[in-house]
Amino acid sequence: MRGGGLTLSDNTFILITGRTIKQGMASVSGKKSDNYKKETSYVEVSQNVLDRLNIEEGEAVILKSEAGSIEVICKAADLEEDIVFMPYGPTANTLIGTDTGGTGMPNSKSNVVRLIRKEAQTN
Amino acid sequence: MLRLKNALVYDPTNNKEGVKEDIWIQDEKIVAEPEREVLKELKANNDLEEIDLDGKIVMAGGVDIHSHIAGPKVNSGRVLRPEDHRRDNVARKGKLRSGVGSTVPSSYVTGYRYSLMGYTTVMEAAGPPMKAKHIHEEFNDLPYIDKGFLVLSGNNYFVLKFISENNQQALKDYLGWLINATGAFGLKVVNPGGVEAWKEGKRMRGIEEKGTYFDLSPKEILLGLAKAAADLKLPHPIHLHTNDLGSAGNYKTTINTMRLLEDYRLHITHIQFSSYGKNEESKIKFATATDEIAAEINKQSKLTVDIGQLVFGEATTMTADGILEYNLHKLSGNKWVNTDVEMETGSGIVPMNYKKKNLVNDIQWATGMELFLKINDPWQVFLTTDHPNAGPFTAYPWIIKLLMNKSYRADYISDLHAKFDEYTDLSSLDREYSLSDIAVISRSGPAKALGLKNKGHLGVGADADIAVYNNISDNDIAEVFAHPVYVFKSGRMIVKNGELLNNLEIGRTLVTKPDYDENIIELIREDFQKYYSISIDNYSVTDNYYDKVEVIPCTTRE
Amino acid sequence: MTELKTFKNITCTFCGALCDNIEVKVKDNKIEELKNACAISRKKYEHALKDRTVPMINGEETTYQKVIEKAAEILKNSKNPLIYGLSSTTAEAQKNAVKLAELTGANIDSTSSVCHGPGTMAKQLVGMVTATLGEIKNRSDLMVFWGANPVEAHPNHSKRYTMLAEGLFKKNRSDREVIVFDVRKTPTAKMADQFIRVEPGKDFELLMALRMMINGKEPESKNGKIAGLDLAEIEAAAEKLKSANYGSIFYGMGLTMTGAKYMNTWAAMSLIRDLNNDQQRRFVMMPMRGHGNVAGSEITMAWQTGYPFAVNFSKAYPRYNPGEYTAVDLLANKEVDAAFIIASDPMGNLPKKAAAHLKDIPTIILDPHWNFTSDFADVVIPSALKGITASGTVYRMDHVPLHLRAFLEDEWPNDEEAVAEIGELIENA
Repeated sequence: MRGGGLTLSDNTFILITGRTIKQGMASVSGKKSDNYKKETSYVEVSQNVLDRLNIEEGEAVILKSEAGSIEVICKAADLEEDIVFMPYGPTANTLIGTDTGGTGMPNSKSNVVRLIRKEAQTN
Repeated sequence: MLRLKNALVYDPTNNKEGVKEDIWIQDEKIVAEPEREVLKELKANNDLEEIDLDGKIVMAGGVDIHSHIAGPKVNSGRVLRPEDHRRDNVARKGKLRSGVGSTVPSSYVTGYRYSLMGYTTVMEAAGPPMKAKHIHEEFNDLPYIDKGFLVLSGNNYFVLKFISENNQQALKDYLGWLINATGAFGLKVVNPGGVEAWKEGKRMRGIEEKGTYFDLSPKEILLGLAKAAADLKLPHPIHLHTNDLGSAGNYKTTINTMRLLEDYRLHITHIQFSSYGKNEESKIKFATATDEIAAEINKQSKLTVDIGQLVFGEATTMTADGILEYNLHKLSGNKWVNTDVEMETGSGIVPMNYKKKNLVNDIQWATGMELFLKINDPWQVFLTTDHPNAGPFTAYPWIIKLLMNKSYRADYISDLHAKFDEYTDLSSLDREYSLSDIAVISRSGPAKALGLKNKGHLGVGADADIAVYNNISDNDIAEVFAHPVYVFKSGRMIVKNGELLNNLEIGRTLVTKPDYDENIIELIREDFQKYYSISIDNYSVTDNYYDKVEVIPCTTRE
Repeated sequence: MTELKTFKNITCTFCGALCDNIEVKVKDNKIEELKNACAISRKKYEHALKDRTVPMINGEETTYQKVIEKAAEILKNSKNPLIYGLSSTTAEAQKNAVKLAELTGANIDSTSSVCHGPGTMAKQLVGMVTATLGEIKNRSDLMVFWGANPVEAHPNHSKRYTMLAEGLFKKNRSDREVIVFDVRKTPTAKMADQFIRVEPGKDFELLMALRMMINGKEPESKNGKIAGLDLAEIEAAAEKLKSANYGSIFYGMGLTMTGAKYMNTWAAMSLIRDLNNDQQRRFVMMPMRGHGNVAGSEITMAWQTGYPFAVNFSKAYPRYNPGEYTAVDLLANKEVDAAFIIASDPMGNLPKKAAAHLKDIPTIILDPHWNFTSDFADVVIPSALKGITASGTVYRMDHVPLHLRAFLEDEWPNDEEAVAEIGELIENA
């Protein structure tokens, strides 16, 4: 499994980062803005997974990868259960490591992340 | 003013064969010897520079009528071949930019290597109109040489449309507009009809068979284009890459083509690839058909050809002939790039390696050499390697040696396949080219065929593009032509003792501006806007892409 | 200047689709009306004159001349600088950047290395069969989108060049069949006739299975599945591909950024080649290049150096090595001691630990708008807006060059001039 260290289990997923039209629009309307932060700081998760992990849509979650960890809100989406999706941006880039395997290309769409409810952390 | 003293002049255009005289240069041109008073004044003001050439051979700068040096296809070839570059690095030196070789050199290295060989004018063989801006951008990074490009036209939607409608006037106006809009020098025709058919996955054979969406035969396309080129009074006729290029037995198509167009001026390029016979009985189907092809050329004095001589070693084939490249890819198994260009043309790139012990490659090599020796008039046959298809342009000096020295030729042949003489008759050909002949095939002839009145010769009024060589009696011919002692471009010395001087400069872009009826733009606008993927108003090459331009006039030929 | 002036056939430069049918109405140096722009383009034009950078050194505003001089000084004194970005500037500026890199013995890389570079690397191994967009519009009866989502990344692409465009032989949506291969059902997938879900990281296996089937061989699988699909499903997809007349595969980051990376694109290009091989059909590939002129950065670098990206000049001649001279590797390994960022935002777009090195070295940025990199850069150089206040040349995803026209005025020089000036200062020092 890519991303090393973490293996797929109950709360680990492949992180897909990509474009959304709103992220694209925000990226050209001032990266300083709250709107840009909003459009790049959430994670889409399958509704089934949210149910399984007992997480409500809109709750804050922690995503952890080998490279780092971030806090974002989660959104329910029509996704398969083995992936989560985040729009491109500096928030998502915190999770992506610098190992390019000699290709120059980092694992922007093949990182493994663990997803935890933020609340769970404080318990 | 610059005076080159004691030059041994070889200038076939002006009937000079080893004439010892001075050459006078001023304001980028060759001028007549000044009057005595003027001379005295120049000397008094220190305005006369003199270089004593001491009897060295002097010719006009070389003119390459067909070479792939700039543009989207060439550049794609560069990207394709990092392995080809790594063995040939050129470091930055003062103002001289760095780069790489070897079969598809980077832009600066291309300019350097032509200059170091004494070549000063090169015609880019083929450019797709839609991407013409790219060609001009590269031209601005291509140092020293004067250059132009031939715009692809033989598989163009509007060309085929107007021919199918029998609208010769519209065809003429469209081509006139196309040349102006793209900053081209002349018209290139590649496998007419065949490249369009390949976009449908089909293959056309010969010139009679109809095909493509417009249901035309290559014959109809060729006639339409030849007539239009004549009506537009272009200095250079249509420049043709024949149908069936590369196939065994294709000499018949080539001869049919030559006969079809015998009333028109015509230039057939890299004709070596179009001169193959077919031996059904042999395991090697390939044969040379040089007797037939040379005989036809010898009969038609208006016809000019360039050889596209094979050179053993690495090459990168690249042509607009998409289906040819597909076939080369299947034959060799090598990596393959193909780009279909909407409404206009196609292209393909496949690296090749020609081997001395490969009989088919030997037959191809012999075909080119035999044509050189069987075509009687050197004014009809020009030195090219269709760079980088048959070989790199840097091989020209060795081809010159093969042509001038029959014992070198015999030695060279002894290194090839043991059965060489069974398949070719090159060993029996004794002819040796003279220095004058070489001057014709490498500068005077191509300049004349291109309609460049100020190139390829050393008469008064010529551009001062001059190459100075060591004598060939005490030196190896190839070394002489590979390392001219001096090279002048536009009257300025750029090479001295085989080294480039540190004054980097960019040469001129040669274009033509034939007349046409501007109404043609409105005639094509509707189809253009619907079927192209860009707007017609963004198509033309705007003035900002041109640095130094020279317009070669379109006039009726004497 | 209170007249309303119309500019037609303006080229938008946001993404690699380079739509050249934008219409702008201008009054008093402001855009009053905009036609034919997609949602992202519209925002780009609306916001263009806002959030502009000003000349700054170490966070303090200063003069333009001073930042140019400071940039030249930093690069001149650096032992192993990096010039990076380039994909959102003009070919003329890219050309000058290559010259500058050669002059300073620098590393020069474009965002290609984290985007479509793997496609170019695959091309160097196996070649590439492609066409210009109009060819696909006119002829393609089967359009495949693999790991690409143009509806969100290239919003007007489908209307101008693919599914919805009126071509010569294909007139509308019903003349085309559309298949999407992806790991999630994107908005593009929702427009398709068929969506095939690929198991994440298994594109290579699926592509190779398709290749085998196209070539009449039977792939094996322990559990009867490859990449999450039943062999029968893969067989059906292979048949679909074979039944096309002129097929096209548009690919995106789904191939370049996952798992096998350039081997994914290698497999895809080999598949295309296989599909062309029996002359029963034609098939072409198209990389869905994200930035407006990233193709241009590869093109200009290639004609001057022979190589498309990841070039190093420390030996006074160009050397190419992805993995060594690519930006992420150079930064992560802390191998560069200065950086000149041109029209890009590595702090926002590169993996965090790589971008972080920029904070430890003198960093110069040349960009018209504030971004995460300009936020901390030692030297900020403002510039004119290409395609709005500055002209220049850009290359579309299919390498078609377009000329940009300016229709508004600006106080700052353009990128081409800035890079040239820095180079001149260093050369004449």
